[in-house]
Amino acid sequence: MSPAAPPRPRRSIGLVLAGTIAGAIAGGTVSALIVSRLKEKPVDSPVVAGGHDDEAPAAHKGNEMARMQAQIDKLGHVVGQEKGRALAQAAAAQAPEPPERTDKEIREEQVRDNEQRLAAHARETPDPAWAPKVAQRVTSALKGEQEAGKFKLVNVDCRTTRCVAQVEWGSRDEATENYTSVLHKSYGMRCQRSMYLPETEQSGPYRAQLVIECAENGPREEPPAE
Amino acid sequence: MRMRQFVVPFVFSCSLTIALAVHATTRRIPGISCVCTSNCGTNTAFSGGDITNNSTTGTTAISCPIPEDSEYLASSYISWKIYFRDANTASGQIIEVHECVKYEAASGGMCGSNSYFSTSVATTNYTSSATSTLTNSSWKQKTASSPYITVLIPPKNGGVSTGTASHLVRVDLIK
Repeated sequence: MSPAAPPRPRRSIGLVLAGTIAGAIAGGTVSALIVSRLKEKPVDSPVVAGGHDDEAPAAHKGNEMARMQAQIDKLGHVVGQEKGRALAQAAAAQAPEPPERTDKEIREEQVRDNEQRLAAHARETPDPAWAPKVAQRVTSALKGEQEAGKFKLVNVDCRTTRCVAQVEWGSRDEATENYTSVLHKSYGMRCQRSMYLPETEQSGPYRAQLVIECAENGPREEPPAE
Repeated sequence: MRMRQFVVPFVFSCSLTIALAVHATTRRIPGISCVCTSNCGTNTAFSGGDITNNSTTGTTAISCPIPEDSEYLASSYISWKIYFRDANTASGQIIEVHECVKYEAASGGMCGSNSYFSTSVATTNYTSSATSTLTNSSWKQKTASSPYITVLIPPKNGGVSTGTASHLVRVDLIK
């Protein structure tokens, strides 16, 4: 008697299962690659503009090819990285959540941040090649916004990489309602801007400072393309 | 036959996994869900779900909230893509985009350095688009804050009745 062959349906199910699992692993790997590729885009080219067909400029495409090649080289490591990431996520899920901060603690942090920004500005010495030009730009932008934003521009002080513009509203309520007209104004610069409105017991005119911070080693002033 | 039994489920499963992963990464904010935050008045209008600036002189600031929940925190987004129509060809009259936050428990806010400036040429395309990677975003810096995206829309190109208005169509957030 010859040994009985395994039943065919069982073998077929095994193949289908193997195909499904292998497909899922391959799909997961490709998805992880896509995500990691997006995450690893360089800081100096944050924005890609395109037309209706979303075409990128030719130079960008060249960089893109190089990045994709690098990603292909990393393919062998991705599965291992994914395992590590999954373990880290599992560990994080089991870790106790940090206690929720109170409003007071959050406010104190905002005050500290604002003071640090103003102190950093105060430490800078004016750069004659940058400061007057940028001060003029900020002044002009804010003067054009005074009526709509219901504020009065008091002064603008630019140094090496930072500017502080002092503006005055009729009251803190008016400042709270209208501060976004100062914060959102176009200054034609790729720089961070912030405005903190501290609480006060006093009524009457209220002054606040807009802090503009440009990167020390990046383009401090970048007017829009014309 | 055996080969097909392996390949068909492999391709199906692979495609499904990728499709699910890619599909789950995008969240859409239509222009109609955004609000005007400066130079509003009668300037801002809704046109077929888009938000437009009908002024012939002033730039309008539009802010769109960034939805957050336990699955989607603003800090977990890796990029955004904006769809717009930049109809004004005049020098400096462009679409400008900033990632901002409103401080929690205090008055004030911050807009990060990551920003986008369109070029004043896009009159032929009804909708242009731009993608930005969140590398130095205010959304990642400030956890105790409400994130939003601000879009500056330039004034109309031309006269009050004949001019062409610039539009904000939508913003896609990619996780």
